[in-house]
Amino acid sequence: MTADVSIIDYNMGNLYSISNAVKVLGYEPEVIATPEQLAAANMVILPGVGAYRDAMAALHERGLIDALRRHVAKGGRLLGVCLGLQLLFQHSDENGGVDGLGILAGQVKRFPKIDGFKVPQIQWNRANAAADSRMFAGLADDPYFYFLHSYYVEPAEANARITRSSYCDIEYCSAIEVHNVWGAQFHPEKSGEIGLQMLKNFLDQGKVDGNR
Amino acid sequence: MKTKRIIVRLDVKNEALVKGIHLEGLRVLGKPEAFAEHYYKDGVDELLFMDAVASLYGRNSLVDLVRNVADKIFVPLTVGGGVRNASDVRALLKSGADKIAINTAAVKSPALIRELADTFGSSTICATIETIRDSSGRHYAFIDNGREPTGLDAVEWAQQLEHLGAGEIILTSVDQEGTGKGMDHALISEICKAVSIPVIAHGGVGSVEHILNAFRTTDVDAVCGASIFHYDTLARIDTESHSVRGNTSFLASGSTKKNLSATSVGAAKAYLRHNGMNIR
Repeated sequence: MTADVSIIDYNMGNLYSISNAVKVLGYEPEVIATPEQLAAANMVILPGVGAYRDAMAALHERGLIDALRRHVAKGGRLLGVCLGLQLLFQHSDENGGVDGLGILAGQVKRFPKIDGFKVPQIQWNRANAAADSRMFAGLADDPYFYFLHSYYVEPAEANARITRSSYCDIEYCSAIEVHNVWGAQFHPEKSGEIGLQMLKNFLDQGKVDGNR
Repeated sequence: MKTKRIIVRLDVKNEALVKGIHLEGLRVLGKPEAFAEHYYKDGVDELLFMDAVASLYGRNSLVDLVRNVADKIFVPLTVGGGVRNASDVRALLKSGADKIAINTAAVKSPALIRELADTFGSSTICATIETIRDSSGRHYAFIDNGREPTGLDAVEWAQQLEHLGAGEIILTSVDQEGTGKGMDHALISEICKAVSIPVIAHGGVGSVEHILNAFRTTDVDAVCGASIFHYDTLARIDTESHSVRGNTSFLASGSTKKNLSATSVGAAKAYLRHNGMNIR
């Protein structure tokens, strides 16, 4: 029996909570760590907590970089969470500048130093969903999610549905949907029932795909 | 406008949620899982679990508890008490913790904070500072629940911790803790001004007004309460105290805690929102 969703373990992230969230929603998760497992995966979640450079090195070590690009290229569904979202982009300013997976066009930047705003952003914050967002389907307007990050993504994708939040006096991208690739800067597995609903919207796509 | 957070702290000894009571030792209030689930359903923003006897055993024993809680609770969990090294941190993160609180180990070896921040990310590492005010009004950092002095000036130590890579500060005023008399605004403001990372204030909350005042008077990012919520929870749910060992004489007596306007998390948040605070 194949799992509904495969969560990538590259030693950087809280896999336990994401796995639990998937189970509580009635789906079957599996934790994977090799390119072979990724090639056989149905839907994929790329979590991530920690530094960009370490994350890219860890993915490289495990041979997962090309595997991730292939998964997306063949239409496989992918959800990047927190650092996992940032890794999808071309380049991050963190650690003196690091190249990312380049699956999505855009950069990753650090929140500016603004009086009255602490970095990292550690708080619940509202997300203003993109029009026609499938990620936020069924959620009330401007729901709160839990954020814990010092860097944010600046997408340069033409056909993206971009959800915005506000911090450090800027409107930044807090979630993105580009065809089969979704990403959330917040932690859906740590955002209470609303977070679980968002995760369910991702997982429910598997049913629509008719893959099971 | 920034969103403020309400955090509940649960001190745990073996399988019991406890409160340290002057001259009484540790008073058992019930099963921490029952309390945690209640707070989650009532809308708490984060939970902080502290191992109350870590200094006794020289290590943190909360891995199993965290795993149980993480199964059903989907808000951030911070865990502390006796965390000494990367291996301890990894074990807790693997079982579902999001942030780790460290005090004693950082005082004994500040480089540990740098090492942990580099390995796990700054946002995972919370530095706890317990303070006691001296006669001149200066605040000094203590370890072991305010029992052992470090000689470190609290403000300077907070700045050093930020410099070493801590992502957040949990500031406990030992002077105010357990008194229910309100928070030390001067202390909180001093620390908030000294660092650019988020600060969670703990110690002294006896009513919702205390929480509101702390948010209005200082720039603190979150307020953490324990007794104010636990004693309300005791009145509302079955905290399964029959299944835990320890000093349960308070529970058996059926008395309530004086000097405390206990409240639920939901009611506290409604009150804060009603008074203009941006709260989830």
